[in-house]
Amino acid sequence: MNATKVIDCAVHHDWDDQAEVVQYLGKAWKEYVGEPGSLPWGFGSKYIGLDVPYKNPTIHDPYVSSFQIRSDSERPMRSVNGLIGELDGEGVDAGILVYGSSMLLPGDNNVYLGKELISAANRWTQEMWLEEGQGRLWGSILVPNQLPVEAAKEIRNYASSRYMIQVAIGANGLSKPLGHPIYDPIYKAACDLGLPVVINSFGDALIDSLAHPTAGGPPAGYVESRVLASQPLITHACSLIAQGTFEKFRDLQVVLIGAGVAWLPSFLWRFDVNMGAFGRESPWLTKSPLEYFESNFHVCTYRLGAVPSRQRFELVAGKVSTDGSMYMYGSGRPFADFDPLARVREIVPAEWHSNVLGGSARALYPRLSIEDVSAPAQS
Amino acid sequence: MKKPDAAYVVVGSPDEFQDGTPKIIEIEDVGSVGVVRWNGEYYAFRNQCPHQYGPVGRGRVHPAMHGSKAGQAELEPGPGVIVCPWHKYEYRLDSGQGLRRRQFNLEILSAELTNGEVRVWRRRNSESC
Repeated sequence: MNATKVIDCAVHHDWDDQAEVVQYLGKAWKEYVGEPGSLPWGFGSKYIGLDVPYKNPTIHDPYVSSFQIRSDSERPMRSVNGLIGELDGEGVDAGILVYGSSMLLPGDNNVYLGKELISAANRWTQEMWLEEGQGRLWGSILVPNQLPVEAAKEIRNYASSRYMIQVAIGANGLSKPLGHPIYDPIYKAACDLGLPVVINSFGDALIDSLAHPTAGGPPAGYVESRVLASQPLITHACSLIAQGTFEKFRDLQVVLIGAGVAWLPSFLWRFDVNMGAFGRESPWLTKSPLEYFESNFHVCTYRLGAVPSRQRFELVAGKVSTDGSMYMYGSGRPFADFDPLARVREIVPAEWHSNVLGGSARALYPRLSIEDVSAPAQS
Repeated sequence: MKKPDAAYVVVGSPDEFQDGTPKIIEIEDVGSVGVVRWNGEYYAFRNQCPHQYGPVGRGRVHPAMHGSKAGQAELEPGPGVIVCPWHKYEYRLDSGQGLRRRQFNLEILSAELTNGEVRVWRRRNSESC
C-alpha cells in the first residue's frame, strides 16, 4: 500500500538578499532600486520589501520584519537546497511556496514599482526555487492586485508553467475586501487556467494600506495580531461569498492560510443564519454560505496553535468537514510559529490523514503531480 | 373562532383585506392562520414561523427578490413572500418554501375568493418543501 505523500501547502520562501529578486528587474527599474554599496557605508539601494509593524518579540533586529527571521537555524531555508533538506528532515515530500516578504509587494503604494517587483519575484520563484526544486516544490503566481487587469496578464504569463499551481493575492493593496468586483479580472484569469487563489491572513497586516488586520483598529503588537489572525480571512471569505464571486466564477477555488481552522464553525453558522434572514441584500446567491464554502474553499492547518488535543480539534474542525477533505496541511515554515508535521499528525484524526496531509491538495491542484500518490480518500 | 366545515372556512370579505397585510384568523382544529391578499390572489398559512415559531402572520408581504447575476437585483412577478417580523425569514406565499434557508418551510393552506367570500381550505405543503 502506498503511503500518502505529504504535501506542505504553506511554505513561506524568502530571499536571503534582495539582489536575488532585483536581478530580474528591467534595467531602468534596477537603476531605480539602486545598487547596494554604491554609496558610502553600504547604502545605495532601496529596500524593496514592505514591512509590518508586528515584530516577533524574540527577534531584536529592527530592520527585520516579522516575516524575516534571520536566525542561523532559519537561514538555510532561504535556499532551495536548504528548504528541501528541511522538508526531508520532517518526512515532507513536497512543498507549495506561498511567499514570505514578497507577499507584501502588492501593497506597495508605488503600484508600478510594485508590479515590476512582483513580476521579478515570480520569475525568481520559478527559476531559483521551482526549477531547482528537484520536482519537490510548486509555486504561486503573486499578482499586482492593485492593478487587476495587469494582475490577470501576470497570471496568464504562467499559463503553461508546470510548477505554478495557484495565484497568490498577497497584501491587500487596495484595502477592499476580496469579493469586491474590482478583483474580477484576477478571478477570471485564475478560473480560465484552473488555478486556485490563495489568501494569507497577513496580507492585511501592512501599515502602508488602509486595510487593518483587525476590526476595531490595529492591534498593539505581535501577540494580538497572531490571536486575531482569522479576522482578515473572515472578511474576505464573507465578501467573496456575499458579493456573488462564486456565481460569477463557479469553479473558482480559494485557499485560506494563516489562522488554522477553529474559527470556521462560528463564522459559518453566523453567516448562514444572517444570510437566511437578510439575504435580500444578496439576491443573486443560489446557495447558502455554508454550501459555497464547502464547494469553493480549502483551509490550511497553519496555524494549529495550541490545540489541546486531537479530540478537541475534531470536535471543532469536524463541524465543517467530517472527513478532513476541506483541510490541507500547511506548516508555515520558516515562521517562528510553524507547525511541525509530527504535531499535525498528532492533532489531526488518523482517519483524516490521507486527505489532510496530501489528498486534499492533490484533488485541488490539477497541475501538482507526485508519483505514486495514493488516491484521496472519498467522503 | 371559525369552525371548519367539511371543506372550507369563510374568513371575510374582500373589503376586509389590505393588500400585503395578513389578517389573523383562529380556525378550530387548525389554529392561528394568516390570510393575505397579494396581486389579486388570496393566500393562507399557519401563523407560526418554522424558524423559531414567531408570529409570521404579523409580518408583511413583499415581492420576492432574486438576482440573475451578481450585482443585479430583480423583483419576481407573481406570488410574493411573507416576511416574519422576528428574524425576517422569507417564505413564498404559494408554496411556503423558505426563500434563503430552504430547510425551513411554512405550512400553507389554500385560499380563494368565491362568490364574494374569502375561503380557506386546509391542505398540506408539497413534498418538495
